[in-house]
Amino acid sequence: MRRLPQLTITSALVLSLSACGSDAEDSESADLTVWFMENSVPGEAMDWLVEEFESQHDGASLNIQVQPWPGIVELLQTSLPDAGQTPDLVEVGNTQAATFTSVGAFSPVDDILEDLGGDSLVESGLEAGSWEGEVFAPPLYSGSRILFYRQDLLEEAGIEVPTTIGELEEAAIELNEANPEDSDGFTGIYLPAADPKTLEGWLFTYGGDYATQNEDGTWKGNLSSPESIEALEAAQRLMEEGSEYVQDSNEAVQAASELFNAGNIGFYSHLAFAEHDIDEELWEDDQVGVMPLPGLEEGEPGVTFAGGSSMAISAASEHQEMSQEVMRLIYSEEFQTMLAEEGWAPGNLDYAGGLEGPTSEAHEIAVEASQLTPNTPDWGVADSAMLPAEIWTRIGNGEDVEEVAAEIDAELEEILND
Amino acid sequence: MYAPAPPTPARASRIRQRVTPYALLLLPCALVILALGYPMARQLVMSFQEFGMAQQFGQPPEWVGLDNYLSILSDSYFWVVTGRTLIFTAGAAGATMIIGVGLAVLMQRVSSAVRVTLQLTLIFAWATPVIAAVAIWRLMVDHRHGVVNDVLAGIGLSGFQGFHWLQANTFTFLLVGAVVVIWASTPLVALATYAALTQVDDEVLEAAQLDGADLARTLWHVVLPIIKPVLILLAILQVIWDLRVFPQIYSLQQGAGSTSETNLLGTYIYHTGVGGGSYGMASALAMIMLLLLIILTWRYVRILSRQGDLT
Repeated sequence: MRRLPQLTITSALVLSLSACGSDAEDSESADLTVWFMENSVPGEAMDWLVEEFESQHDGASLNIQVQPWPGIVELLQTSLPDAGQTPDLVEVGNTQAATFTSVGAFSPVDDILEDLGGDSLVESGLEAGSWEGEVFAPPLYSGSRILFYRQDLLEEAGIEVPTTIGELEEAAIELNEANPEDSDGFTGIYLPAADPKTLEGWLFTYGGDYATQNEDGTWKGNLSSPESIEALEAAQRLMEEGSEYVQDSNEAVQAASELFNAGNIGFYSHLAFAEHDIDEELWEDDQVGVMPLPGLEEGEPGVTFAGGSSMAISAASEHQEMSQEVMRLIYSEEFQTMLAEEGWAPGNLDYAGGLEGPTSEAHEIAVEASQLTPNTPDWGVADSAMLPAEIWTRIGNGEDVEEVAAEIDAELEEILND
Repeated sequence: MYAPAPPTPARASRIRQRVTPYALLLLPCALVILALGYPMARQLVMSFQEFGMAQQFGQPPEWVGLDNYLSILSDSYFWVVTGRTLIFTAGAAGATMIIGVGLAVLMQRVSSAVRVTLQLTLIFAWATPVIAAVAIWRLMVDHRHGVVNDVLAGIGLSGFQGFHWLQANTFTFLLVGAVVVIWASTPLVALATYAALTQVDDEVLEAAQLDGADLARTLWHVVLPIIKPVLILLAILQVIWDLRVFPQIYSLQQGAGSTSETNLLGTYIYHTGVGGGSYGMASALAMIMLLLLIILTWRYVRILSRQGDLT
């Protein structure tokens, strides 16, 4: 019993402290936190953002934290609702945005949309970040997977540069067998199951999809459709006959450019920024070629996943006005241009001029022909249950394609129609 | 003639003796209520609500009565995961106890230099942070460069060349999980049992020897009854820890092909709640798991609390 008074004092303290917290809104001494994702915004742009913000706002500080992609939906779900824990601004993947915009986790930015680029913002990105007519998460950048390939190895093996996805499969399988420089652990194409974003290129290019929406708004698993089955079978054959690192873990996928530099990979699929990870020497000696994923017919691009990120202000943030200031800086010409230089297609198309270098042409084609995963708040749930990775892992392990497709279809329908 | 007797010092001390235990209980009880009571109460309430992502961000939740419980109990996947968890717990806790007690008996019978080395090794295993331990084991069972496959292939089992333990099937995944768990929890069992063994009176053992009992009979009929309270306590702890195992399985799942094929109750609750955004459902699941744990350990906790029956 004697402890009780102390308890009351403690809770009174806690209460008054949290009261202080809300008083501090938008004062000059605000400390803001921004979460960017790994492999996303270049460090140079982050430094610029901090310097610029802090020089414009005396006494305010900006703290940037970089979060890993795996597990981010869980992390955001538990951090965003709590004013004490939430970052003030977050970067979210475009396919994850709906999970949060639909439940009011973000503050609308319609009032400042003109300052952020207005009509110059990528339209599909704006759509992905809107909910019931309000814009919450404008597009930060978009990017699609492209193929880097060793043209010298193709030449040595006497293989033509492929122009259709079918030819690509043949070329990778042939190259895998030829292994022209006789290197240990050589693979025709690097196609790990833990990289669903690359493998989705096969699914979409063959005309398949994970799920389609019925007229009544419910979702139907679509992996068992003839087009999807064709795609899954093509991918399975390629993983079995043309690829050696199918079971690589997520960590290994992140470091695969090392394998490419060591001459162990013929075809390497990655985002455009991977051009910076490839050895200078390989570029100088003209050993590396870049192309978009080819389509079913010659001259037609393949359809890859329309990757991209959006920025949003947490609704629970105590610094709403200051956060809008940070948004203005992120959508400024300087910041967007730095994103373009990194190899992304910036959210504001006016600043896409910064896109240059060996990957820009292929990347532009890939982005134009890209496609989103099913756009529903529940896709974030399917994603966090690692369903996309599961499909490709099971197919890569040689399981029966039609069986896997039917099973995952059922699981997808359960999650998406929840 | 008779003045009322003043309270004697003896009586005051008796009162103090009666109050002191309760005063001492107050702090731990208050701490437990603070740290566990509130979340438990919230969990109980939420298990009767439809509580999803929208509620997490401030929408009022809807009462659904027993709906969450009914849909869990009628879901065949729940029973698969529960069965899997019980088998995992029995296997891991059983193996931990057997290996741990075996090591303790061994420690009694080796020279002190060997014993100290063994104890130090065990303490290192005990002190390794869970996530670090999982990372080490993941490297060891790596399909491409792992030492486990190298050794197995080296002794002629060429089928293990490139074998992916975490992706091959549910059994091999849980086997790796169990090894990580057993590896980390054996030291406590071994050291605590060894400590208990040192308390066994030498004279009792000598008497048994004089009566002609061999090692197995001495251990079974003389030593075991004496250290039984410690063993029961350790076994209960193992069952509790292994039933609610989470970080090991969750980290290993990052390298597995399928979460649904590798879930135990702990990770299933996590993926349902935090991953899937169905907090109401996850709360109901957690309540069921708590009930399961109580059913499993109830008898032994009661035995333990009636200490008189144990010795």
